[in-house]
Amino acid sequence: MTNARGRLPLVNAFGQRFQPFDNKQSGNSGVGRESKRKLVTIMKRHSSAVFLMELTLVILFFSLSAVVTLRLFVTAHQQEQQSALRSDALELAEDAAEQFHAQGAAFFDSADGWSSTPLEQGGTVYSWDGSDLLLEVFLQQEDTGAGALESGEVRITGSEKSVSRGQVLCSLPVGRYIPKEAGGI
Amino acid sequence: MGASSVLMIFIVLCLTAFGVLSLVSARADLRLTDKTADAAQEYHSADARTDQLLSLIDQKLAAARDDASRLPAAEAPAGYTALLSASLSGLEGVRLEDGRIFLTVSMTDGREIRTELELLPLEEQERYRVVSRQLYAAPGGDGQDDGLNVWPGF
Repeated sequence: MTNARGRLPLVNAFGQRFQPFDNKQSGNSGVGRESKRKLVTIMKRHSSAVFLMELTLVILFFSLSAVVTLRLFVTAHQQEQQSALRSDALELAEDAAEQFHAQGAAFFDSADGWSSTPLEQGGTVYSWDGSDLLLEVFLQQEDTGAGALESGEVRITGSEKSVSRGQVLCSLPVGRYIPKEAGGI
Repeated sequence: MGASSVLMIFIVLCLTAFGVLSLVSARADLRLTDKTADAAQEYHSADARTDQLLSLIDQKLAAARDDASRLPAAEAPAGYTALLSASLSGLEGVRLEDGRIFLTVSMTDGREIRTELELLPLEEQERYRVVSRQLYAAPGGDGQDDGLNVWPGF
């Protein structure tokens, strides 16, 4: 049942009708209709401001967390890549070292993609270019009188196409002794 | 608003936790790869040193044979052994015993490469024959296996 202004009457928690404050009446307590409307407006403005502040803080917090999390993921990915590259390099180097130990310089056949270059200080460097890795074997041969001692180093570096270009990923010393009677010098 | 904030915070916390886990896992992986590479480098370095020691020993064997060939035929074998014993005594990690030479090359992580050579008689053209070349984990080293007696057998 609405009043003359088309509004529902105000009632308190006990269901009792709330009597509006009359300025002309004396000794009355409570809030007048006008004052009440002003209070509601103020409260609505304050709640909007609080909401906006909260939203700003949430967005700020989310942005900071997103930046930190992204950085964590990117660093982890980079380290995984580095680890995978080093593992591949180690496998390649060990394979070359073991093959050299078994077959000697005959393993570095040009038919298998190896290229050889003589060194100024003596010896030879054998190179093999993979997709991401460059394999180089530096060898020097020494005639001991009783046989031939081949010594050197297997080195794996990142190729031009890889993320670790030019970086030495793995380095293994190699050595092989062949007595003269067994086919050494 | 409250529920969405809570959900947002939960998602952010989960993402951060996963990111930290990924980083920790990647770092552990990289550290393991580095350790493996160091161990491989140690092994191949010791392997190369073994071959260098072998060449040195072969030179001394050749020299001892030359000297022993100048001795009377009856004294040659004993003289050869005596000459060898004297020349090999100065080499670290080399031991002559019962007509066999034992080489030991140690690595910093407690492993060793042990090589056993059999001395061939003076009549043979070759001076030695490699009997074995093995990788050992030295007692007390990092590679030592304490072992666990799981099944004593029947």
